[in-house]
Amino acid sequence: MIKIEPLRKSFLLSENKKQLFEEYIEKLKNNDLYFAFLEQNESLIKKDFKFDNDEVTKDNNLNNSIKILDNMPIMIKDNIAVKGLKNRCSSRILSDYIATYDSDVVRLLKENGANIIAKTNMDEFAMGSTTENSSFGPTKNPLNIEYIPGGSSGGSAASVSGEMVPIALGSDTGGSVRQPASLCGIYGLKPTWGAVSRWGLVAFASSLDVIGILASNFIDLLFVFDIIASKTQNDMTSIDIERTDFFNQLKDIFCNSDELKIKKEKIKNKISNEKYKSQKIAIIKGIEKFITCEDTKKIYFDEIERLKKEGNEIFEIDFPVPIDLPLSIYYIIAPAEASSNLARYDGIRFGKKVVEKKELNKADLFDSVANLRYENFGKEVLRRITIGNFVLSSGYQDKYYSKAQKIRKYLINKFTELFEDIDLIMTPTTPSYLKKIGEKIKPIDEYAADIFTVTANIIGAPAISIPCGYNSKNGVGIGMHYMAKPENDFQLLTSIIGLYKNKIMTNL
Amino acid sequence: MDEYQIQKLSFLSRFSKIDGNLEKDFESILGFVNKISEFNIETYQLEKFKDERKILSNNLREDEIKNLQDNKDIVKNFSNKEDQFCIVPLIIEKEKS
Repeated sequence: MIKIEPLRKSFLLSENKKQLFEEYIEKLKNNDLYFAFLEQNESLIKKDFKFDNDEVTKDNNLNNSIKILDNMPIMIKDNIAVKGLKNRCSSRILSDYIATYDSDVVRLLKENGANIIAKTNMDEFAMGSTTENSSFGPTKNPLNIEYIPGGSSGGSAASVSGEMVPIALGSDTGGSVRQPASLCGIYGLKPTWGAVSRWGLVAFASSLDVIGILASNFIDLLFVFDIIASKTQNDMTSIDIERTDFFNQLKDIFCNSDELKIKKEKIKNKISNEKYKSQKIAIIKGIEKFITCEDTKKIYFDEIERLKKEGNEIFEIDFPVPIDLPLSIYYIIAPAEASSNLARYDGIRFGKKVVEKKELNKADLFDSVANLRYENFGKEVLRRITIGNFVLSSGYQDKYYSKAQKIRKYLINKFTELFEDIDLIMTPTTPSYLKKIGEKIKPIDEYAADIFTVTANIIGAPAISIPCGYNSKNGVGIGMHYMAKPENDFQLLTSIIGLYKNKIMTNL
Repeated sequence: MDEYQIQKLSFLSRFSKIDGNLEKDFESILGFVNKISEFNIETYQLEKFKDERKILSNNLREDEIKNLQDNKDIVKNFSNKEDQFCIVPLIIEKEKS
């Protein structure tokens, strides 16, 4: 059933990057099978790169020009601007739009030596959990092509899981990085809101949107996150987050001038010999009735037992509100913000041009804009804009939007208190494998896939999905989800190294 | 939904129409998000505190009276100002302190 092994050795610590790079490029032809990416950056792929361990480079004494990412091939979700490439958000309404600038994350990656090779498929405007809502066609899960890869960053997940790149960027508004990472058997990190600049990310729900990382190797994810987690002038909501001493020591080893082989050995020793503190992990009382997949349930409880045996403290907590309530809050706040953010696609300021006649009267103009929007937005976008406008409309705002904001504030307070006593909250990433491609399910059943991931977005906390197994019937991935206190991203990642040391060491 | 409501929604959304399928989905989603109407922060707190205490370490949940007051304050002092709608103010407050 599982045709590939989605977790791979570290690209950054590889002693033969050139070969590895070529292997990745060779796999791009698998796009015919998965439809992970939309547009390829041909000009960059054809370049004759020099790598850190390249003999020619060393002979010519060009090593100083090698950047930390050392030509790592990376794909970028279609809602993040890459200068000169189409930035369509997988929508017909932006089908002609070419980005005129690099987003902050892309700039940071390029400055550090990344090789941006393609834009990945996604649910239109990041609305969806399947990547079937793309105007260009669905992406398939490389672990079983009959199944969805999750979404909305399903193209990014499939590109990593399908061995086309070691790293891809996605955006996460309610679970859009972690959920596809889980279903595709790879790592998916959603940072603290503001830890990564959103400049150049097409807005869906601004108070929830975060750019995240999908990766086939944890160490690669760690160092790429270090590069993009940066306060920038372009995004005034961006913040600097503190690095842990352990991470700084790893980075010192990684950035020193040793040969790669020695660096790798030193990093292995550091991870292996570190005395990790035992973690206080909260699990949620009554969660099992929301986990609809038996394999997921088993892996979840097995993981709890393993973590207990390894000396971690497990607390069972009551969730501060009914477990499924954050989903309702999310599906009020996100559509409300989306209805405002997507109002700009009117064919005049943004989107396909609406005005063909030289002169239009007011009524004509409204009709033209309304027709253009109705015809060019997909069904899910239409649904969410409608809901958003409804919950913000007079007579309903207090009942829905204001109340959702009050509960959001309450949740932020409750979790702030909770994180004074615990380090992590653990759940499965998704309650099930969701569905096959083309299978019809109700929108609200699709929304339920985000039940364990939306809370992190609502409170702005960092969270990560760790690949922990596969569904025995269909081979689709199963991930465990860990959430930490806002701004404790590096504490979260350090804790994960402690909890999953063996898995991480195997893939160095 | 009546005809007027559909027209109003279609106007607010700048859509030329809201067809039958969209209307049906809309109503089903509305039923789903309606759960928040039934939720009351204050009463939920009072009910839940009883069994929370036995599960958690002593200091994991604090004084229930203080907690109830905090929640009442959230409801009482909540206003439709922009700063209530996102988490930026928390960061700014932290920076100030």
